[in-house]
Amino acid sequence: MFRNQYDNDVTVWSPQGRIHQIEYAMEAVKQGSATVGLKSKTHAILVALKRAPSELSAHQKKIIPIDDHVGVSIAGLTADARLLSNFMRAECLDSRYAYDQPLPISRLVGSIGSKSQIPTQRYGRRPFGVGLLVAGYDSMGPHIYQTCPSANYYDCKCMAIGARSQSARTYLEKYISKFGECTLEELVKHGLRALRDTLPSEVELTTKNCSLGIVGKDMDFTIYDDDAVTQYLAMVEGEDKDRGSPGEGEQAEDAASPMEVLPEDGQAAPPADPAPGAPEGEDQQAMEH
Amino acid sequence: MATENILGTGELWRNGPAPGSLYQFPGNQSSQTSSQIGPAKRTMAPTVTGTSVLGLKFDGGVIIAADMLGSYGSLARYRNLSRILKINDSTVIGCGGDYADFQYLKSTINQRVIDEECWDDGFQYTPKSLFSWMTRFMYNRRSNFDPLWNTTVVSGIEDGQPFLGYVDKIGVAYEAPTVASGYGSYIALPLLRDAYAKNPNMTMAEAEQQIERCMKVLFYRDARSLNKFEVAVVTKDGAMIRSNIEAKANWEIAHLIKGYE
Amino acid sequence: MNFNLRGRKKNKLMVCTILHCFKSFLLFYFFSYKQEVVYHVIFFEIRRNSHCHDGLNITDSYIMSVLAAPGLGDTYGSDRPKEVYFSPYAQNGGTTLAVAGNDFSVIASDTRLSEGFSIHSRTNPKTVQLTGNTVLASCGFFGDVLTLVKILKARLKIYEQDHHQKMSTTAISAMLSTMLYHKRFFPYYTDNIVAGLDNEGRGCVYSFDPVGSYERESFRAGGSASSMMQPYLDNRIGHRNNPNPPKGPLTKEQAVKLIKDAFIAATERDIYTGDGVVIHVITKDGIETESFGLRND
Repeated sequence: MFRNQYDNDVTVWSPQGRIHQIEYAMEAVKQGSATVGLKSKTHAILVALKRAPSELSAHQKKIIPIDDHVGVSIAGLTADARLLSNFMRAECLDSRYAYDQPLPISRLVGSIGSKSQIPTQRYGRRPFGVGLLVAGYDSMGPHIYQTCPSANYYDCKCMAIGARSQSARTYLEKYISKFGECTLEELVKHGLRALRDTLPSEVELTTKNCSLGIVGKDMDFTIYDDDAVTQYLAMVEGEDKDRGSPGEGEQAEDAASPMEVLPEDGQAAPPADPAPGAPEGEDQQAMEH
Repeated sequence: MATENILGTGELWRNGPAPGSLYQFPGNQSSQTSSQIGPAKRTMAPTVTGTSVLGLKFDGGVIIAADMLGSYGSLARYRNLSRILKINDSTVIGCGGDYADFQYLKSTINQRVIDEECWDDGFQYTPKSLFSWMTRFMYNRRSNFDPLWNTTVVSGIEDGQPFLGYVDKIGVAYEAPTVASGYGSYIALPLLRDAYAKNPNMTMAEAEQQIERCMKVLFYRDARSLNKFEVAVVTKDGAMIRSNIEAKANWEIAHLIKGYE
Repeated sequence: MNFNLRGRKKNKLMVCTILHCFKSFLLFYFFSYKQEVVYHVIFFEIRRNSHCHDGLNITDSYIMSVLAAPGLGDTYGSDRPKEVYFSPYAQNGGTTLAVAGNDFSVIASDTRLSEGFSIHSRTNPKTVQLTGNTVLASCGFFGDVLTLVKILKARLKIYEQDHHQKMSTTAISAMLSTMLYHKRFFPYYTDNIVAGLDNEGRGCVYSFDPVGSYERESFRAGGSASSMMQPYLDNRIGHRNNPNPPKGPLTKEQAVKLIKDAFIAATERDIYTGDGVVIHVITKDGIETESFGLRND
């Protein structure tokens, strides 16, 4: 059953200098549905594509509020995301209790990095199977951070993670120079267009599957779901899709090890050892959003 | 702690030998004295103390002052102690009460500032965050029945606005445009409040003048004070501490005061 | 009054048996000494990382110290009771008042913070807005007030995150009661009143004692001048011994006017009340806040 002899435990190196368990965990992020984060000079926003694991199920939440000044969107194992967000909430409460101040976003994300690192180096443990986009606003302005199961985290201008998110990153790269001066409305439009580009051709963004989180100057982190996103969806309705080739995101691009994975290529797949396959069944999908 | 006497039944020191006897190991029931039966005691009174700290807001900044005396009871023991601590360019605290506890507080805060700098992310303690932390610190210590015997004035500039706060040894804390601890709250605070009410937008020079006047009045009336003091001024341009300022006192009329001997 | 010196060992052993329930066990008693109240505190502290270096766990080492002798270990780091000569409490004054109407409630406090014969601050309201329709008024020992409010706000946020809704006035009151009772043996020395709207939209006022006993009432005064204000409210709102009570329900305007009168009157006689009053009127449309000055001498 094992794919190779070096992926039994997270404490084992492969001769290529890689830790397969960590890379597998990074794959879990790509099983989750896509989410996009971007920021202007005044606001940071998250847009996320919600999945319903079955016909009988509601669409699962993708954006989690952490504190008045910060929220996250998730891609990967929902249960792990809940654990991490409970941890983040506790950190934020502690900061307000002790210092009467919102926790700086950089320190919040730093503490997640420290926490996530531990199960990447201990025998018998597994890394977190979730990637987060953290949107927050503090006295240094708006922030978008990306965190990974490998315990790396990146300060980003904009980022997309999750299934088929390469298309969204392609969109973001194309318009990145415009985001800084955007109004909030324009920023949301860019976010929705980027997210839309991750969709297969037969799927559309709807009030059911789209979720939006906004935080900024003089604005607490607020989530817009269901009917509340209607007005935002209307702003990009009927536009031509401006998408990259479908499935592009799943292709291996280079052989970077987890330590070297750049935010641009969260997709790096293992070259020499066999790469983990696509999800094998619906039950696995059900855990990841 | 009641020790009966040196040569008789009492102990020389805790768990030590009684004169003429062998060392008694801990746990030897026969060596119990009243001091060992009672609850453990801590020295719960300050030893070397500093007196009042004053603080006053002005237009675009804040000023605090404390004299440089370390009293040992009624003895003017140390005459060149600094009771003001600069945290960073926007935050300064001043401390009255037990000087050893202040030194402990100082080393604790300094270490925290170093830890904070290690993040190297551009954030630092602000007057409000330090004030909040001070309330928690003092309150937690009192809740463990191990208080730091200090009254602290926290001052600084945050978001361009002056900040002035007060924290005492049991965690009572508030912000106000004028604060004073110790005897200063009886003698100087009415003067400061009056000056502030008449002119809520003082210039820095006017505020300094008011503070120096109050320090002089305190020197006249507070027997645990000294006519040498330190002043810290925080404005948007940074925190500046001036030491060894002397309050020029005039005792010419002192000989006229009679009938109180 | 040294009731706990006899049978002290029994107390210690009792501590051992309830180790798993309480981190610390505390008794304190007072006696008068030359007009000063000295707080004579016996504090049993069970240290998680005890200073004992014999490898025993906490329970074992604790029993050892009881069996062996008092005197094992020195003053510092000792697991013996500590005796302390300072008061962990202060009385910082302040008066609070709340009135419930049919579809509103009004809650107010003065803004003076004092200690002994000194006034710390003339601009320190004792009211805190907790949610869109709940206000807490808390006075007594201000260190405890600050702590209680901080913890309350954290608990409110946790509730909101867990339940995806704001906490109701009724729920806040129930939670506050348990929070106060959890410090039953080292109480928050605070007099609390919560005002807001209940789940049916009616005005509600809950008053608490320092250790968590609480009840819903239609009006309540708290803090230093409460003994003057409460009888006034009994007569004017409760209509006790009022020969011609007014007809119809209490209106917002009447309530606010009564509150102003109550504070103005109390300030004449109570030195711990004065400087100013903050009044919050809570209705389904939100909270309106007004303030006015009192005599400040």
